[in-house]
Amino acid sequence: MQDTPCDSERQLIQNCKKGDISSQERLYKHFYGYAMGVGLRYIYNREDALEVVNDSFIKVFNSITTFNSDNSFKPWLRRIIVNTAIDRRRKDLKHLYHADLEEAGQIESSVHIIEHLTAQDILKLLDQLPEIQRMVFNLYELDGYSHDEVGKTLNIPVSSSRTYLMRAKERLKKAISLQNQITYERVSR
Amino acid sequence: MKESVDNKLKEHIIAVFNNYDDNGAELGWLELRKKHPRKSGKRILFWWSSAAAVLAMALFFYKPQETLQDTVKIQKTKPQTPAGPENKGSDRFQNKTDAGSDVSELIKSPAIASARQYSKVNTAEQHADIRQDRTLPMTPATASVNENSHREQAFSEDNIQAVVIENAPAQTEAISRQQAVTDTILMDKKANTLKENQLAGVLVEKRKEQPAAGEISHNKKVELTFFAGAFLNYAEGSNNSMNMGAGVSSGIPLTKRFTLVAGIALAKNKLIFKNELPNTSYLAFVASDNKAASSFFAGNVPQISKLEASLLNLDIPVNIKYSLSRKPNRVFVSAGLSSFAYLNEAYRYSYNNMNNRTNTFASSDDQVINESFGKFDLAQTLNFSFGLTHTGKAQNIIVEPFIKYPLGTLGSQDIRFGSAGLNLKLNINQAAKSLKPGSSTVK
Repeated sequence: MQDTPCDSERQLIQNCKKGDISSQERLYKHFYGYAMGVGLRYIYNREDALEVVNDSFIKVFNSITTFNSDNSFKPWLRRIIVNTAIDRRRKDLKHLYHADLEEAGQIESSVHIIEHLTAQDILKLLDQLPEIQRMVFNLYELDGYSHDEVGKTLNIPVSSSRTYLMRAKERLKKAISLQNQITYERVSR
Repeated sequence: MKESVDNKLKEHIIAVFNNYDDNGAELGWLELRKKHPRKSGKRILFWWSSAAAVLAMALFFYKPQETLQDTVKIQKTKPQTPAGPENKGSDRFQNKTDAGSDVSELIKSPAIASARQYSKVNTAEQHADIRQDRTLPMTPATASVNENSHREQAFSEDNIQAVVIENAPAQTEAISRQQAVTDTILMDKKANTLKENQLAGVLVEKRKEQPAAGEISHNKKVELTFFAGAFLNYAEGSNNSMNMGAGVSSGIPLTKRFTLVAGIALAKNKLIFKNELPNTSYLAFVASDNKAASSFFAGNVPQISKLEASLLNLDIPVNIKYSLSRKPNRVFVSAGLSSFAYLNEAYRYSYNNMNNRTNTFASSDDQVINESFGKFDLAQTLNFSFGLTHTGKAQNIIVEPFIKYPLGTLGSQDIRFGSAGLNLKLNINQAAKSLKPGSSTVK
């Protein structure tokens, strides 16, 4: 997942370090899509996700002089967005969602269905997860955090992190299977 | 199996969101700038405008000055003749003179002392006429010393030594007294003449001088120029349009050929964009508080057909001028930088609203965005020009084609544009007059 920065990206970052506003704008627009993808995975509401992304970019511009241009920019940006999203939703995490503690049934999910999931489909699936499970799934599975790091970030025990991750996966597969069933029924009619 | 599904799902989600595309980048940037606007340049504008005004005033009023003390070089000559009787009048003269110690030293020199000696003259004339030009033998050297009305007369200290000296004949006491009085008057006149000739000699020999307090140099010329010009603005996507400007500038000679020129001008710049707007202008339009912006968020996309940008600004150039010809400033080339302070900026947008849902256009009233004193652009254009000077009796007229190349963007909407045109300049040379407050000239 580690990308090597290309020359144009490196030059853009160099110009941003000098405080050039037009370069900041170009950097923003270049990574906007990626940043919104990260933000939407954590935040339900699009406007809130945009706010998180913008706050993150402000942090990026303010601290870009400390960034080593030889490293890839995307992981650094992703880390900032994730932290900003978690900070924003931290107060909501206090109200843990306990209703899903029952074990999900064994659901058959076809692999080929997963391959056809679009970004909007995935976001709809993630929307069905409780807040805490969504956070844990994103942090561990998609953003590469360990359970220790997840526990420290969300201020939960490591064991809870494992549990929430398991629940999140099962819910997602259940949702995918349900979606597949609905689609099959429509095709059959 | 379960793990493969999990891995597959994870990998697919990562792949999808690594390449996630969202079309709201423009709007997102707009929102970001709204929340974190650019720092106001008004405070910076105030300080830079003040600095520019102070610099222009300093250049206008700066005139090198001279001091007599640094310029007058007294060469003490060897006494060639025995010194004559002591002239009591010399003390009076010393008390009278304003020229400082230099002239009094000159008077004390043996050459001057011997100049007091006269040839034998007609006594009657001595009584009747004590004018210097009648009593002294008229030799060319003496004539030059006697002259006190022509400042440009060449002066040589050797003239003092060339004065014809004759031993004073024996005289009666009355004649001696008369001569003493005459001496005094003549010495006064001579000292004054010498002083004036020293100045003339300095002028003729073109010595470098430093002014005394209260004195202004005769020699250094500060150029003051009034100019007016017409020019075309050019920018990518804009039609060329004719504009006008006028201002003043002052130049300080640095060397024989180089002159530092600074000034200030008022100019109007107009740009017309059709169908190809600068990106910053589009964003400014959407960000402005108008009905077009509010309809933008309702799904209507404004299609801007024309943008008229009108900027009234102060142009503050600082240039180095190089004279190409032997005659000063006859033909010259100039290069430097210009800074801009914007008195008023008006951006008029003509647009139609396109409804994305119905795919139809609806025309709207023009939208005008005004900005005053919003920005100060320091050294944002590179100036090049060359000039031809026509020298007149009282003034010089200069024809100067010029070009201004943009080094960055200009104005509150950051538009990059340059200009090229022709300036007509009126150069009124200023020769500083010698002034000496409270001076007492001996007549």
